[in-house]
Amino acid sequence: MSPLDSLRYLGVLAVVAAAFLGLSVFAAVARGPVVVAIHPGADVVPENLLRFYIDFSEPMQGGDAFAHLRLVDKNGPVADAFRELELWSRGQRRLMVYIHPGRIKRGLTYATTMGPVLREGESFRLEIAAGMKSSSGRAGSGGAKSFRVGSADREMPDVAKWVCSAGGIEVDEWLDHAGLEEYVTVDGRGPTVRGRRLVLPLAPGEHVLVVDPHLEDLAGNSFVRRFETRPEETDRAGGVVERRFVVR
Amino acid sequence: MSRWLCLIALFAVPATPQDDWFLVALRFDAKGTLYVADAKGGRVHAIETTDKAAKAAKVKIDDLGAALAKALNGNAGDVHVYALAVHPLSHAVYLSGSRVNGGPSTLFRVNAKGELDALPMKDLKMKTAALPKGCQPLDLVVGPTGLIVSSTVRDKNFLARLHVIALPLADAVGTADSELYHVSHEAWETQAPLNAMTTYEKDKKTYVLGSTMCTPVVRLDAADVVDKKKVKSSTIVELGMGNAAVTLAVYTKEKKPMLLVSSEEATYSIEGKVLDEAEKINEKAINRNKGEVDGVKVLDAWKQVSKFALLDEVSFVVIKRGAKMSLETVELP
Repeated sequence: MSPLDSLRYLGVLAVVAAAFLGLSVFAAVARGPVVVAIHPGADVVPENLLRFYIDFSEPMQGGDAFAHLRLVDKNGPVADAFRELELWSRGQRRLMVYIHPGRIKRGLTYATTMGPVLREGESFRLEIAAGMKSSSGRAGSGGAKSFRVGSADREMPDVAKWVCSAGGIEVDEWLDHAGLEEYVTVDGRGPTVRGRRLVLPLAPGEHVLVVDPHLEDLAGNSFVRRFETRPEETDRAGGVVERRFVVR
Repeated sequence: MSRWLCLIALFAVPATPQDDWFLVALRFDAKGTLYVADAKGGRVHAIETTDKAAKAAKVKIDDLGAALAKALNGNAGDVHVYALAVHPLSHAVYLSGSRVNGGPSTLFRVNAKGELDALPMKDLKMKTAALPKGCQPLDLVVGPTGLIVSSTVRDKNFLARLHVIALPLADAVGTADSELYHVSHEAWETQAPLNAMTTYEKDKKTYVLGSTMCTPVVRLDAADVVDKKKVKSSTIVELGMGNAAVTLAVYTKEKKPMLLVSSEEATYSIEGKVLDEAEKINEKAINRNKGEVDGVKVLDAWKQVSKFALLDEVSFVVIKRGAKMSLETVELP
């Protein structure tokens, strides 16, 4: 191949690459925002699950979430499932949605009359309909997650039960996703959160796991207090939860 | 090719929203500075207004939905009013409106003809204070030590916060945790933010009256909202299921203070003796779930009212739900 041919070949490659890149960008822009994750990722959640997080691929406009969100059981959409307050973070890319706390806490008239939103043993589906708008006005394609409901969780999490190894840490129960991202460090570093696994490489030797006590499980029980407390209960004293462990 | 480039450019350049804020609360101080809570930005703004003093005049917009829809380029069924306030000097009505189905808020002033004049953010002279990271404001009031803002945490944890910001709006934001007694639940709550608030003056002290999604009306001393302190409030009434408060306001009728509370369910007037109650609080608070109604009255004529603001000594401006959303002037109940 002559130098001229090589140049021509490279030129064609560059044009093809540019066209491919352009088309990819065009396709991404044209399709609008997509749901990239719904947390918790668990297949089974406690009956007193407190919240969902919905992550989008780009900043969202907000204000239209509850026109597009619904929780569906075998009978259809569940009425009054959410506390309809849009809570956005991560530059409008993450929406936090509370299941109505008035239907989670025991003893409330609302919970007694309406019943709990989630019922143990049943299956549900969280649906985000197409059409939620990004901050640039493009409509999203929506998303969904199905899950089953297990028994209620009314216990505080316990860091002593976490399994620590060279590949990271396996927590003993599903915990709040955003909390895990922010409230846990090992030797001062934050891990990557993949469900119940906190991924970060750990060399052989001693390590220090530090957990902010405000970290909650899926039902809002933290290291400070349970989600539902009685008047006689007091908060856990002390600051961060620290655990030293050795990787061999 | 150029047509393709134009098409790509059309998609690639995002439309710029008119105003990048979501105003969930509006409140004037006595001098006419307007304080607004921006839920999207997690901040509050103090806006200088140039209104001239004028007598209060009746206001009426029969089809507020249509007027808002026209101003917001939406449909009457898709628009919503998030907050309402009356200027203390000009008595002009201010409101924040938005298309429910997306879109940022627009601040409006109702003019003498009963029309909505938009006040673009870029034209306003204002000062801004950011709440701590992750805090989303719900309502605000002007207290003796500064602006008091209620918030919830939007990125994780289920916490109720009260902030105090010295005036004129300072950069430093004090943050207190709030704790209230939940009558139905028979428990103290640190996780129930105040959705709606107002202030009440008694014996030269200022109190904040507020309510949560789970329906107790509480009272706290405004001076107790101090940085890094836990503010413990007194629950004075349990409104009962379905009565998450939308608006609260204190007014004077026949020289006696009254609290007006609207919810999705009904509107209530609560007598001053209940607001001052020192004994029947918390576990002993008036509980409508148990049929206790002494000093608490359901206002049937106000059933359709969602939001209101005191216009003068004899009337409120109200927003009514119904087939058509309207803005009206009504006498004190």
